[in-house]
Amino acid sequence: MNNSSLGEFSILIALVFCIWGFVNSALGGSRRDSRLAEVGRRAAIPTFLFATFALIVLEVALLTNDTSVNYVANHSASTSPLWVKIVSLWGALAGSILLWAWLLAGFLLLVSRIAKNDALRPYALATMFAVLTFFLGVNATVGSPFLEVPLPPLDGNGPNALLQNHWMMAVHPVLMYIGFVGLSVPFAYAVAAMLTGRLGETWLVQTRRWSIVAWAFLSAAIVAGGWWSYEVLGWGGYWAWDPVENASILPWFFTTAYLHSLQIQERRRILKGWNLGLIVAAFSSTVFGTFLTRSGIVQSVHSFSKSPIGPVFLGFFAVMLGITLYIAYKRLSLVRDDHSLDSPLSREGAFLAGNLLFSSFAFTVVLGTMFPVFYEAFTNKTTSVGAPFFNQVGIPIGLAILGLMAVGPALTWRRLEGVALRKTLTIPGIMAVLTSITAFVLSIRDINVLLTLAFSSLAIGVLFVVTGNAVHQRQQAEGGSSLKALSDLLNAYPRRYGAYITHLGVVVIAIGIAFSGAYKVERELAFRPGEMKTVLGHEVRYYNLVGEERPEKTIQAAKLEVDGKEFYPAQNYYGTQREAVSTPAIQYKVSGDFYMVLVNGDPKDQSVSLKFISSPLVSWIWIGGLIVVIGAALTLIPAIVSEPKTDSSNVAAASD
Amino acid sequence: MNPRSNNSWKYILGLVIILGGVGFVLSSSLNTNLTFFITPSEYLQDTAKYSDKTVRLGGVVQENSVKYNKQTLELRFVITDGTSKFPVSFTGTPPDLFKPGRGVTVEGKFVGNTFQGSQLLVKHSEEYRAPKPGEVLDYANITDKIKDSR
Repeated sequence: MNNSSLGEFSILIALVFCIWGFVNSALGGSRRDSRLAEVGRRAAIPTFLFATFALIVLEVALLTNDTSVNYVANHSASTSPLWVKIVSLWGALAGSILLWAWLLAGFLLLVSRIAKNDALRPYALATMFAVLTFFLGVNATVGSPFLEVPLPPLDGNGPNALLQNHWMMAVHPVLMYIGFVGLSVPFAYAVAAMLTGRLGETWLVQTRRWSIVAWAFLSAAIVAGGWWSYEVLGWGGYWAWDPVENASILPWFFTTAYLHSLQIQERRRILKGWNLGLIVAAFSSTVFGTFLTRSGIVQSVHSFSKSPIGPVFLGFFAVMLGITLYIAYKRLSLVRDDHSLDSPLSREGAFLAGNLLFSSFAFTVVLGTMFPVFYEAFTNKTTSVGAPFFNQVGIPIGLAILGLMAVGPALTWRRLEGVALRKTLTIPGIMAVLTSITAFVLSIRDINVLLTLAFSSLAIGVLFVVTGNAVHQRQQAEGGSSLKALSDLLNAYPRRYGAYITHLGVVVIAIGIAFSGAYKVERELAFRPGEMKTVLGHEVRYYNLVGEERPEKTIQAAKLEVDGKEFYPAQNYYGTQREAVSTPAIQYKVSGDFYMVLVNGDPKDQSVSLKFISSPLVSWIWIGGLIVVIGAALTLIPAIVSEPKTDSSNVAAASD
Repeated sequence: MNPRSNNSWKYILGLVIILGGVGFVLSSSLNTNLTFFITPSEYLQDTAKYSDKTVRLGGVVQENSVKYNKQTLELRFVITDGTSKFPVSFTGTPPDLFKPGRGVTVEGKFVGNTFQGSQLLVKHSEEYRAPKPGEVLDYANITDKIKDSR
């Protein structure tokens, strides 16, 4: 049996087990038959095994350069380095869907093993089986990586040049898919909650950790993608509001809103409808995003060639949303909340406002991405909506979110006495004003940067004051040193302090975005060999062009000396692709990067044109991303010390 | 979701302020930031509409019109759609795929009769072949293909 039929065969078997699992889980749930439900649950094992086998077959085909498999013939080459061959598995459409399906099968297996055996589980598993059936179905039909090539070429076409130019490509897509797939768990439980009518807090609490894990992976993937763009695309930026970037930020917006508003339901048993809506929106936006970027309907740096997979994803999106909305409609009476908000000036009021802002941001992104498509459909005029639109709308919304994030931890549940709020906000407020004044004196005039700085110091100040108050109260109640009180608090409320650290990470990212966005400067200059120029405050000397031939690419680089150190911004030419992919050279500093791009080099007279970009504080974004993920990981740690029974009203001022 | 208490007007007010604000910013900035793709002829037909706006001008780089100063990085060429043409001025290095006889999209603004480009976009098309001497270019087809360059 050759790789082609072996791969197709194992996908088909996995598909059969998957459907078997769906039918039994669904029947087991609806007939309350635990035997059937158990059969369904166990189907997760063979489904995962055969999906894994299919993945291994494709990987073996890539590594052995078996060009009789169409995916290998189209997207791989024998000359590629080993790591590129390995990651080629997700370097193109069909393979990335197989990876997606495999991860989903893995998550399904995990849920089937560790989820609590309750009335929700069969329905949740059935939902996940249904989603997996779609993905395996795509892999078995229109998106098969295993089609046999009748006359195998000697070598494949090679992977996309942009994708093999940086090792980040090995990491970013996997993080993104884990995030996407992770969202299927809370989504499945939300559907299960609606089907069973058990709309209490159970499903939220059971899937809280899954949601946080998915969110952390999404956050890491988005930051990693920005970094890839920065390192590879040679324009010194990290976010271009490209449709594929927009598609990745949508589920992040919804999940972020969801992680906040689920706490309201946990605490106050309200906003049931919001939470269901947000998680359904988060998961379905991953499917919508895949449709958007894979169908060729919008142009994107990432868009793969047009294929029937786009419409298939649109169909799945429509069916999924239709079914979910229908179930929700049927359960409308149960979604009703027990009571309402007490006061808008409360923790839950702030979360609600944040929900609205995140949803508006998501709407803005969808509108900006889709507008040209609709406009052309109605007026037959080609238009584009560029970064200026997204920045103009996104910056105010982003600042409002940052401001809300700053005051949020100072607000208490239910309602707040104005005096207490004033007490908490006085010092941070003074800090915010002082920071802005200092920045203004240091000749920062950009209003967005000033506001970002003000909100950032407000956020940091509030976190310190709130933590300090909690330490003080604990010390008074339990005695001991303040250090012991702090460590007790950290052990008792990892969720709260993890969230605080994540907020600090967001502040760091916000400052990085504000400065690199407002104060990025760009110069493009021509150099003759040996020439020296001062560019944006750096001494730049250009020596000559140097070249290197590798099996998979030809490198042409300019030898530069910048501030006494050597740099080699380069252009890479990959195999059959005629266009160069530039590899910028970057001088990294916490205060700001100096970014050098070889735009053009003439081998005859050795003259070059170089682009230089100075981007202040840009590396704060990557550092902040790391802090965000660390904070999210901390929230997953179970609380060690049992919560003190006494004096709970005081602690409530700064509880989760 | 169901503020049934007597202070529900506060929520409605908050909702109106947030959604109204977002809606206002959305519509106004969509109006100013919608970039049209036009050909030189389309510009001539509707000059008033496009004259002060950032547009994407698409057409073919006219043969023998490219002047490029390697030291100052000043690039001048003529863009044409077969019937109308405009001189384009741009500062920066032209991309590898920028060649006479090929389709190009320039983002920028008209200053008088010269198009001041801020960005050169060349479609990564695999179908390109060099035109034979004397061959008449299919302008409509080329322009159609570069419409969605990024």
